Amino acid sequence: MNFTKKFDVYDEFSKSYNRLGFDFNINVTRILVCVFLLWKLLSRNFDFYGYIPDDVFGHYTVDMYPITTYIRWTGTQLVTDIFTMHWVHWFIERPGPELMKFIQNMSIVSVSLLAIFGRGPKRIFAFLSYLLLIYLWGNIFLLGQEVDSISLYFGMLLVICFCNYEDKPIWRIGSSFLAKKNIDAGRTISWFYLILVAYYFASGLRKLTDLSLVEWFKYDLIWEVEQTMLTANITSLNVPNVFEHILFIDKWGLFLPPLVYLSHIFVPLVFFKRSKVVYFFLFYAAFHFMTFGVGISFTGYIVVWGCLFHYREWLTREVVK
Amino acid sequence: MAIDIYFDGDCYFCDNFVKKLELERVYGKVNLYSLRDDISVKNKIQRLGFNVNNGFLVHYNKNWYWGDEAYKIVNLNTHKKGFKNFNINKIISKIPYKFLVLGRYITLVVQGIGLIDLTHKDNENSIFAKSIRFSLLFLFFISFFQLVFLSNNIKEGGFLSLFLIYLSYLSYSNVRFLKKIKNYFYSQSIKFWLGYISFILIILNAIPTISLSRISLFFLTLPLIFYFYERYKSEKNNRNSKIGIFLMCILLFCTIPGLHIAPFFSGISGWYVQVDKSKNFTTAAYVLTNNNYEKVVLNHALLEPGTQLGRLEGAWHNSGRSKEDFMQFLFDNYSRLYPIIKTGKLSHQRVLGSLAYPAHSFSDTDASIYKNFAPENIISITETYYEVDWDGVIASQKDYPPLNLKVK
Repeated sequence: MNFTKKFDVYDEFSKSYNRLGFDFNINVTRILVCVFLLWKLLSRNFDFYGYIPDDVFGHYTVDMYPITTYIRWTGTQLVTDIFTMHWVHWFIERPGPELMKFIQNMSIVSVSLLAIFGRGPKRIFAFLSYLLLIYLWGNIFLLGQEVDSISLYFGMLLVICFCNYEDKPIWRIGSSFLAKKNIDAGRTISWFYLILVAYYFASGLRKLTDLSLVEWFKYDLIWEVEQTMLTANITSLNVPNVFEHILFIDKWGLFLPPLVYLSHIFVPLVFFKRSKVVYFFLFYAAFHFMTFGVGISFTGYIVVWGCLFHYREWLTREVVK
Repeated sequence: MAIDIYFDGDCYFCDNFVKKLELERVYGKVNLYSLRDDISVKNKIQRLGFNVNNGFLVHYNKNWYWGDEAYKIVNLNTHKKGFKNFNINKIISKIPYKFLVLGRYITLVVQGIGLIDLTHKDNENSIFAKSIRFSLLFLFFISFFQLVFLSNNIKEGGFLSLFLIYLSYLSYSNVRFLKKIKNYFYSQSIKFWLGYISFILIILNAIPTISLSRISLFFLTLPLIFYFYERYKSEKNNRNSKIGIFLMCILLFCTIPGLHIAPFFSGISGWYVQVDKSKNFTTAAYVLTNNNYEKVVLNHALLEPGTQLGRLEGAWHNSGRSKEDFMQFLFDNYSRLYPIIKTGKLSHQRVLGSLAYPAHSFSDTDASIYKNFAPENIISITETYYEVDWDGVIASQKDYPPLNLKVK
């Protein structure tokens, strides 16, 4: 190996960020993101939050973690209220069940419009969708649950809000199939990648800060799966039956978490080598499915890499670099 | 007659002090020479052999004055001519010169500026160079804090602190050392990346407290962030290269400790679970009892949209409400949703049925188990703690005092 060989991240980043891309792929991503959000919206009843006493809201991230594991400067009431749009409740009362239901229905309409018509005049459908959705999910965050397999989709929705590309309604998506590659579309696609890369890479860095390298190999994953399966027999937790077939791995399961940690750390490579996105899709689909074994559903993230597929290139058998 | 003063022009303290002396009143003409910028000035002073880091130089009346001698020249004369009644320089003039030198050193450290090196044209005080100095200095502080307050391993922690203070000292005092590090970054070679990553891993593994380790990572990547910033500044006229600023922002997002701006946060925490199979394990669930004394576990999915186990209860507890109040809420919620449940669906399956997006803490979806549990037939709710062996047999169970229910 030539150790003096140059790997100039700055240059490589600039080149990769500025590559040309197809508007068609972004329109497909927009539709996939909307379909996912609709799936989630139609599987939840946000009127639930109309029944929760007002004083229970306010279990912020800073309240959940000890000072030895969490730096308390964001995740505070002020920051969280502002970014979830719950600052409105500094002035007005929390909505009752009926109004919550109305907001949820508005969100369903707005996301449907975004999927069908595109971003709309002044990108109104995209911005409205984001604001309504972040308000709805803000209720979850304010009650102590900061993870719901939703961050990546919110990130991609922000890209749709702010980046430039040729937006097409669903019935004219064929015309964007014929359009040429361009720099604006390329940069927008780069941002989709960066959203995913930042999420996983940050998680990878946390594995370096929160665990020693010895501790990487201390996770009794298979035994935890077994324990969760036994727990599921008694409680309302559930573990798919397929996990019975992996218990034979036993102690070798210690080597599975480090594989995931490594993948998190190396995930930025996909930004530079986009043809490899399928491998990342397969790996992360398998990884997120594995979390069902410990009773956690990351269903949304099983398919999230599919939003970055090179649909246009594949349909025309074009080589992706 | 003129007076020439050679001083540290980059030091905030020295610069302000010299400029405020108002020496023109005494000497008519005052020439100020910064020992940082002009190589010809540096060469001239180097030949004289003074240690310019421990004292400034005055050239007056064909004589050279250094350190406290120079200070006397400047100081005496300012007194003679009578300063204003209250002046910061009047106060400073009463401080022994050694303390002023100490003040300069502290000012330089705070500014991230290295000592003057007359042998080098560039004294490496760019923002990137400063970030290297700050990085090493703060890493030393963190390791020292860990050593004094949190460490069990004095030897290892002590060695790390000594190592980091030595590196920090070199970064401030030795331009050649800093240049080497800088060039190392600029090389962007595989050797650099391997070395840099190894250094990061060693430091992080030597700091076991998670919060401190996260802060350390931030300071470890600080030079890289500012390296990218310098590249951005130098290439910002190039349309394609200026987007490197995003690279800097993403690195900041990933490394700033404790960043949580909903719904985004800088990474899922790392943890590990060690399971002892020689011992039974415990678990708990909320259980409904009907008027036939049949029992059924209350499905946590009924708390959707937020279905992560224990989180809603945590919020309830955090607000100062009682467990009984939470149990009453669980029952009221169940009663409210029972019209859906009795159709054989859980509430999140109301529209999409079995195709509904599952609960975050993955749940059972069988609603038929609640057939005999119409709200009016339920007499109590409790939290039951189970001790389970590894064959799945319940070894023992204990109930939290049950709450007798009132149907609203």
